Amino acid sequence: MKSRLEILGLFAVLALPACAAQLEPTDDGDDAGWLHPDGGAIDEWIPMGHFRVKYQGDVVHVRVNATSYESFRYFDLDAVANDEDPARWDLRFQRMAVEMNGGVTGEGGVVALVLDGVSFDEVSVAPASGYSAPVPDSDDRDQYADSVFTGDHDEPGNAWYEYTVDGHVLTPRPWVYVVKSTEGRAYKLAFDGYYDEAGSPANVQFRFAEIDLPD
Amino acid sequence: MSRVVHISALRRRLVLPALVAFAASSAVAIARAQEDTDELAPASDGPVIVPPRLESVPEPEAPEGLEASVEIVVTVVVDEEGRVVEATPESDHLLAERAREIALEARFSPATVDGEPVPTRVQIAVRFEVAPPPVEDAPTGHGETNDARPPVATSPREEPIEVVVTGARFDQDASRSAVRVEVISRRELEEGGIRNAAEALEEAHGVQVNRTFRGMELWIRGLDPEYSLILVDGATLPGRVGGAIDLSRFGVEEIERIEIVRGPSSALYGSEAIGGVVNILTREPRHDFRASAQGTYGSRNTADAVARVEGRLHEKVFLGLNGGFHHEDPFRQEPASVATSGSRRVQGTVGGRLDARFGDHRLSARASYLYLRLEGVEASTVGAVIDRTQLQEQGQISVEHRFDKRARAQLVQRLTYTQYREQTLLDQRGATQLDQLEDHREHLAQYTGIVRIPFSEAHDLTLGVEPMVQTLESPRLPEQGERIRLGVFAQYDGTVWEPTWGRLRLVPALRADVDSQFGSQISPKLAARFDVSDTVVFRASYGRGFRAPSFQQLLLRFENPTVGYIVLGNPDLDAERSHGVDAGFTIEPFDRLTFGATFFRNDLQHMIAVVSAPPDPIYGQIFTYDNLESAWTMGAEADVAVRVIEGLGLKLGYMFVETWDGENDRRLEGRPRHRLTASLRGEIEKAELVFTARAAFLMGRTYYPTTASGEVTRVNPGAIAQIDLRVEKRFGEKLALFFGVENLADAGDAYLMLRPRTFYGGVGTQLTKGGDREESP
Repeated sequence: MKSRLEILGLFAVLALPACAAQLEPTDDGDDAGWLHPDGGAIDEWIPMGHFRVKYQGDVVHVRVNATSYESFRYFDLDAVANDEDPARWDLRFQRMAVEMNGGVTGEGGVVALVLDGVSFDEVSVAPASGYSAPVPDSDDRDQYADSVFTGDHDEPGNAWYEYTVDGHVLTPRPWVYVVKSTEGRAYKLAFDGYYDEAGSPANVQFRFAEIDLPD
Repeated sequence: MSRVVHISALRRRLVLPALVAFAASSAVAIARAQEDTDELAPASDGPVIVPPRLESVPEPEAPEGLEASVEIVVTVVVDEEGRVVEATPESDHLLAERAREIALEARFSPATVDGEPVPTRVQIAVRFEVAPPPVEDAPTGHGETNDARPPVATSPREEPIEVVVTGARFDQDASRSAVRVEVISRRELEEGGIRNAAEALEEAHGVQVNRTFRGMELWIRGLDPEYSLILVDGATLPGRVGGAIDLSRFGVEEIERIEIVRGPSSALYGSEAIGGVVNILTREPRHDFRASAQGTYGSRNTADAVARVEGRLHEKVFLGLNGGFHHEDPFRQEPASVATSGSRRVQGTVGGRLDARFGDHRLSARASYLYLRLEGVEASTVGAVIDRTQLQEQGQISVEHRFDKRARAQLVQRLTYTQYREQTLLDQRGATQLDQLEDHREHLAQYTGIVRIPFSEAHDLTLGVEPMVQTLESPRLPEQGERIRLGVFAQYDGTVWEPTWGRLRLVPALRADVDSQFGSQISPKLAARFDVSDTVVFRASYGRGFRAPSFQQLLLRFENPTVGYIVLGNPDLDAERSHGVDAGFTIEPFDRLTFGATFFRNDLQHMIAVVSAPPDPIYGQIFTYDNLESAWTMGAEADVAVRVIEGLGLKLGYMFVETWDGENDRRLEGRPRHRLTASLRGEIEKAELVFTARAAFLMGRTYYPTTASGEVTRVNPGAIAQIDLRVEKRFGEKLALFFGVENLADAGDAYLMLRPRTFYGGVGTQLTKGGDREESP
């Protein structure tokens, strides 16, 4: 009879393991995210806070770690620097949002326009007109200021990216922007990507170069 | 006299015929029993069938005023424990009801087939004696048996009856159920080389099993997995991931049988029982001592080891313990891809059950623990490669009390507590940005109390109450999800019309559920069964069903870090609702052939759909849920079971399903229009060989993938032929060797990911001592 009780005890022990196994994060991922798709070793990129930059002739390639949901990352085009000073930053990035220091999103007087149907290399002089600053959100489907980067979602195609719901993929549009900075200089700018080599999102890549102001 | 003819037809069909005389003067009955015995003696090459043996029965007392002795034949169903679970007098005599009550009190030693106790149907004659009979050459006492004249005759050609519980929430003979209940028996599980419930259902009729990275999910009659209720021993389970319960969680080592009821069943079961109910019944310990073990090894490092031991601890106390281990390598549908289609799986289970019987009461306690680790690789369209590890654990404890006094009342009450935990680890290759560890924990406690009150042989009432408490803690929910639900239900089962040429039974049922989160639901159902004869049966039913919104749909806050979209729950969601009809028949034109066909239609309204909300600059696309969609599925099922020759049986099933997605104005994705299933079992008794073949053929699937440019396309992949074969060679009762192949044709495509062709072999052993469970007289 005692052995039967022992069997019962064993049964009770077996029955109550109380879900104890624990998965642990391995954290083995070395961040290989700063490799540009064009190639180029990591040491060609100059670290700059949340940014990394690489010079290629007159063109500056920039990568932004915009992964934070809480904070924007601020960039000064004129100084090619990570700078949050309200008088100096030109563009700021958070996830897929790109905002400029002008209109309702800043006091730096930055304005921009978008050129469709031209290549980055073809643009050498800034257009004389057509610039706009961010304006309050219109009565559209989204809830943020309208600008050349965000657009009005009632008119599909205005944001700097194209979003494919199937697979949730974000692809930059092949557009060239012209941005007039806080210092009044003009830059042509194009977006190259949203993902790093490891496929991590919110790693915005763009290139820019200074162009002539119109006569 | 015509009535007697009817009875004998019934006997010929599936009864193990018997006539038992309790009173001394029933020499005629004894003679008839003897005749049956001779006529139906087991053939030498058939399975070893030991008939049920009558152990005790109350003495029939003739009422005062009875002028002549009366003998009433009662057909009884004897369960595998020797109890009479159903009694039907084959007479309209005034004493028929009394004869039924006496028959229900009878106790047998159960029939066995190859040593396994099985439920059987037999006939006994209850004789109300007016004058004392002569004593010579008659059985003595009341209901005692005479060894020289076996009271029960059996036939190797007859199948034991199938007891099912899911159709009415009480044990009943499957062939008498008002709704059709399909059964996958223990024998089919063992002989099919099946390792878990998902594999058992893969080639079953009227259902479909789909593989996702989360496991194996069940579709019934073309409806998504969230519209089917999965139960273990009648209890609801937590742990729906993406709406589906992973059926591969349930290892074969703990399954006695699987019952499937297709069609709306919310009137008995409440939420989610829209497409149907799958009830996994666990194994009961019933041997004095039995130990069994089985090991299997196959290609792709498929390895299984299962063991079970059961025994009698005390005169009326039985214990069963089981454990299992299963392993399988991952596979890729596209060999060049880094992403896996099927995960590596490592599964372990331990479980036990203790049964104790005291007179008409039975107490059972059961506990089980499951560990399931799935490891796979995901590749996103933008190049992220992520190692995914999913660890599921489930602990379940249940206590059940059954009281069974057939003539007066039956009671089942059960308390089940289940804890389900799922941890998911995402480990990005070459980066850490997408690494994630989530820990979900769900608790579910459910009490079920059901009482069945028979008013007479032809009428009974079932009443039930089912309170439930469920909680979910998840990093995806901003707060803990909590819900309390109370379900009460009633079902009446009565013969309302019985002309000489048939019998009409109506089974109306109604269930009310009050839920702390979405309010109340009323689910009515009306089922009808018309027996034209004992070989032609019509069934029809109409039922309403519902599905409660899940915690995720109500409370979710999920951010997809890969791209940056967010899914928000909608606390204002209402329950999804459905109504469905079923109509069909079964006929048995010959002894060895049964044929059935059913038409069905399900209409779903207020279906919860994912809708997009205005995008947000930070979170990007926002999705939420709303009760917007509607859909229907409609079709027909047909099935044939035929015993070609002795030892060779074939079952064929065909299902046609047409579906409509009201939101998108197109067919529902991935539902095969035609599904043909076949299972063949052959046995060569002398060579101790058993071979089985199971197959499912799927045709007419449609998918609507979206291209990179956002264009919706339509794809109709080719037919799928899923074929499993297995041969088993036995060496007496103690040893068996087996070999098999799964997915012989190596079928599967990007849309329906099947295990690649897998060869395996193994050995099984079993040791039994002493007898089976018996009720003391």
